Amino acid sequence: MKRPFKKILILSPFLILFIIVLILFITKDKPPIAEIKDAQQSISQAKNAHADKYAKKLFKNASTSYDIAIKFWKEENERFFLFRDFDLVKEQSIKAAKLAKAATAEAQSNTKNLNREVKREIDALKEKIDYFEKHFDQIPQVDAFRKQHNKGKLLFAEARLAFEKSDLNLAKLKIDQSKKIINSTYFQAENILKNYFKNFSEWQRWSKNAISFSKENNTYSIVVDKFARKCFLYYAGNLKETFDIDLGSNWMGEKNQQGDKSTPEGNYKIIDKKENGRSRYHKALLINYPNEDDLRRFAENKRKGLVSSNRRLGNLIEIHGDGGKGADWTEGCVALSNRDIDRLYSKCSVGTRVTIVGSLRPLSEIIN
Amino acid sequence: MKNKFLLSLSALAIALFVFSGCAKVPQAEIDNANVAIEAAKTAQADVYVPEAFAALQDSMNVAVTSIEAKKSKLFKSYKNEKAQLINVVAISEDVKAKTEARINELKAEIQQTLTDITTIVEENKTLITQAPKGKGGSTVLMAIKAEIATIETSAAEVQAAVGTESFIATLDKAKAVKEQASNINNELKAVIEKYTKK
Repeated sequence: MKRPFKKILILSPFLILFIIVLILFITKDKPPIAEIKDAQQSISQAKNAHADKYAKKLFKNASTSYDIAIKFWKEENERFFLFRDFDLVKEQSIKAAKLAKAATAEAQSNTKNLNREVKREIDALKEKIDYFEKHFDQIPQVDAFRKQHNKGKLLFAEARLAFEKSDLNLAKLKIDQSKKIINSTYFQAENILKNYFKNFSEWQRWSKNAISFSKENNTYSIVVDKFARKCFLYYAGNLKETFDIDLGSNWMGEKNQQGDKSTPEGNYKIIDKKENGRSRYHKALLINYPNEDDLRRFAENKRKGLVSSNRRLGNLIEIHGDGGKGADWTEGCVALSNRDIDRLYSKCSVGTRVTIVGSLRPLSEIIN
Repeated sequence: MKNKFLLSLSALAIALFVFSGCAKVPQAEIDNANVAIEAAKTAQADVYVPEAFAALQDSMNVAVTSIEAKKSKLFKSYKNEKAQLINVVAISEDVKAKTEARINELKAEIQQTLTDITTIVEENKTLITQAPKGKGGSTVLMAIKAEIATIETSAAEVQAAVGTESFIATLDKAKAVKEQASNINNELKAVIEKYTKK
């Protein structure tokens, strides 16, 4: 009996120590694995929602909290298990998960808003570019800043491609860069137009007079709207026909000298009807350009030094055929398609009034 | 009898040692995995295959969490974690290979787009010469010529940018230039068709 007792006596402290250690280990606080996994999953979800791009600050804070939690966890694991304390690990994990979830929500909201904003800006800028090309591309003076405008168009194309790829930040950056250039060229072109339209009230008066003349004399009157590229035929004050026209390449503004490829503005009349080979085009209605006003202005321009003294004013401005090309290619004449000149030619006679104006519509109406 | 007692005591001590203390953290595997992830990042996997790279990082995070969880246990074995880390290395190598493949794909696409641009620009220049007499002086045609010039300059800029910035950004620029060149091509063809119909 003596020997077993001795054995038990020797063994018991080990066993007791083992049992105590085991109890302490089991009852001791466990690391917050569930919280860490939740943080990990939340950050992963935030990344999938592109929170790193669209909720940068929250995502960064979430990642930092997670990194701190892992760092604390590693440090605690290095300590003797009785001295381990996972409170800070748990706290940082919960914080990381919370921030990551907030980052996901913010990224989703920001993505939605940015998507809407960029889409709206792309549509608006596309409209502006189309407008520019429709109305300003044909303004000869626009050549001076066309290169700049084309750069803006390229940036716009990049913005649209980025938008299609859902890279909204890049799309926004490109659309802003493009907008800056397009708005600048648009502004310059608009100013050119504004200057051009300073004569609008005079054009209005001319066209009213032409229509009144047609009404009072039960006769035909032609009104040419250069900006709209339209030729209107009135009879007895009523609009009878509308034709598309082509003009000279330097169509904007008054004709100042021979060869300037500009189409004159003013009140004229037909002085000759040409067909059967008398015109280089398919039929032509020659007008009395230059009239007295043109001659007076030309002389004044020469006096002011705006036109060189050896320059001539030119003549032979016609409404002729071979047009309908959708481009400004004449030397300053008004060109109609052959079918249209046939109709116009048949109705007009020598003496028919021809009024050429910059525009019949005010600039505000055109721009809006 | 005394020997038997000592043997039992030793067995208990060995068992305790085996189940609690002897399982070492697979540091070599952790280091290998980190090196492999870093290599994938250096290859710009985060730029060219971001989803695959994020999945790789997630795998590493899971392995690290698992290791730390094991550290807190009395009886631990890192067998599964070692396997996870070896898998992370394999995934890293795969991600790196995918990155390189994607870069080569992008480079080829950039060169193809630039070749397409050159072809379209040349065709556009020919189309302009085919434009009927009288139209050469038109502002519309002047506008198109100016746009072709801008496209040529931009294509040269794209070519110069290859390798100096992300291949994705370069390809996006090239695509935008090609789109503009194609728009002009269609516009010119439409104008010529309209003209020749008259």
